[in-house]
Amino acid sequence: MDVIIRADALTKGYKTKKGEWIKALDAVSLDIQKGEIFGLLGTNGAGKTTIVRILSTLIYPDGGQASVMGYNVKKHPKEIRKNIGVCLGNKMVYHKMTARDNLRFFGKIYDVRNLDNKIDELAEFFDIKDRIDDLVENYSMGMKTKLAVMRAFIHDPPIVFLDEPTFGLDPGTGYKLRQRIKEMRDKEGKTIILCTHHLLEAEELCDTIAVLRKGKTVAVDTAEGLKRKVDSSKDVCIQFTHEKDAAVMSELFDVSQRKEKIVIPLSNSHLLHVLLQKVHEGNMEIQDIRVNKPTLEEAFLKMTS
Amino acid sequence: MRRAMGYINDLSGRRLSVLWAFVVKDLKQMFRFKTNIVNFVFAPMLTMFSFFLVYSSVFMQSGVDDLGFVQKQNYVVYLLTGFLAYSYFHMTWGKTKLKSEKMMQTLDGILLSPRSRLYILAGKGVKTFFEIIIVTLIFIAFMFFLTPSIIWINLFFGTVALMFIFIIFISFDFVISSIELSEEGIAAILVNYLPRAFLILGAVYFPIDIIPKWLWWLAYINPVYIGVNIFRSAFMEANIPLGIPISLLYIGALALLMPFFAIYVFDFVLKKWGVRGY
Ligand SMILES: Nc1ncnc2c1ncn2[C@@H]1O[C@H](COP(=O)(O)OP(=O)(O)OP(=O)(O)O)[C@@H](O)[C@H]1O
Ligand SMILES: [Mg+2]
Repeated sequence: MDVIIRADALTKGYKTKKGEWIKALDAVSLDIQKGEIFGLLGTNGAGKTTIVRILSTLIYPDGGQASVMGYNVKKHPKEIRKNIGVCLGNKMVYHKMTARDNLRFFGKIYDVRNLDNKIDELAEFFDIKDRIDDLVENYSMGMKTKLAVMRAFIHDPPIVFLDEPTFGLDPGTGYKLRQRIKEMRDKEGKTIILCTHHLLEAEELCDTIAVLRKGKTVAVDTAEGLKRKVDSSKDVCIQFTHEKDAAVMSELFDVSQRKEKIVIPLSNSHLLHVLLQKVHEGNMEIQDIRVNKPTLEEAFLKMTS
Repeated sequence: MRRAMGYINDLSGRRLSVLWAFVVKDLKQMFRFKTNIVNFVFAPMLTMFSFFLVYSSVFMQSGVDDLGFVQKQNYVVYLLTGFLAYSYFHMTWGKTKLKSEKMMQTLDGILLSPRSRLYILAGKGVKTFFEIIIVTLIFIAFMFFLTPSIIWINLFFGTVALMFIFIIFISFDFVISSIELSEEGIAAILVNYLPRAFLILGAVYFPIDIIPKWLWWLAYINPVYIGVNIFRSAFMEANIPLGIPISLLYIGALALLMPFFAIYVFDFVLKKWGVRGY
């Protein structure tokens, strides 16, 4: 696979009111492959949006290099701009104009052919057709987000940056947008950079995830890889029908008990074997057995704390 | 120079359609506030009216007939032509409003497109030009009834000169509005004093004879002074030290350079200073 976006030791600092410098980015390096969905996760203020702003040529890095499709962000921003679509939250639209006028304006400056069809198509997809001729200032938060995403899609760019695109969307639209994002990767070969706080979304969509903390990358891996990194070994939770059985077992095997449930570590498979034997011998009744896998959330919390 | 050519080369694709998109966008937003027209016609009128009161009392009551270029028989025409220039200033000043484009990050939206920044200025310029044309036509129609002897060729040159002034004004406004993206304090000072200096040293509402002779050169290089006097020469005697052709050439050259300077400042602010709050 080809690297389509490369960031090399990017740094960006901002001055606070007190005059101290804070590093929004501190030597961040990333390689993003063509045709993948690349997730940026991180705590508030970790630098996700700053990375997107640099890669989309909106701001200059203080140090380091970055290139998109082989074009340097500082030297050839025009070439990059032709190939990217960017959505930064629910901003970047005119509130005193209708949604259709907004899309017409942005479509025209990208020289989009068949613009009106395109707008109708997007409006249909985002389920906003009946309000497309209303002023944006009358929109709800989620509707503004929809419009911002439509704005980023209007010229059908090969690279799309989406900064929290599902924030405030209803579950139905959120689902549809996720399907659309996957389709853009699978059918159209587009590269998508996705900033999100929604870990299930990241897990579902992203081929690679970078976790940021205070301007530094803590880890870059697949969702599975990230989960493996944190050594929360798997547990088995066994739920008995009667609480007294759980009490007996927890005492016998020295494991934790909560009401009818006991939790035993899966790493000790021998223990599980013996336990099941005892259940059988004692004629106890088991209602449910569940394996607790580590979640991306656990991995995220561990890495960013 | 190379940079200027770069700006022009970037105007690629269907240029007029892109420019028109910018104009329509600004017009649509302007027509949301229909009271704008009140502001740019009446505010200059009020200012000029106070000067009218002063002059009329001087000429009617003191017995003086001649204050240099302003005389008893032409002070109304003098003030009216000055009023036109003053309303130009009112229509252009504060019109590029990049700060409001920054608020909703629509400036980002535009910057993300592969378009020259010149379109931003041109779009706002053409939009304001429509307003200017309306006011100018009304004014000329009015003068047609008021002054019996219009020198039509001078009126033509004068109108061209006023268009140049308009381009210089709107570019200047773009410069300040760019600075405002990063340094609001500096911009606020420039906004308050720069245009006033232009207008006062432009002999828009009082004759140059009033200011000390050693300051006259400031008026003579002031495009507003030159432009307004070319325009005035269609209706009354006016002072054009360099003659109409050279004066037109001079402010024409300024009008050609100013937009590029404005875009240069805009780029400089974005790259070197950075936009506050981004
Ligand atoms: N224009 C600015 N001026 C000053 N500081 C800034 C500016 N933009 C960003 N920062 C700082 O840079 C750091 C990174 O900000 P950034 O917006 O990239 O975070 P983020 O990861 O997108 O956070 P969030 O999840 O809240 O969106 C923060 O500490 C922020 O305060
Ligand atoms: Mg952010």
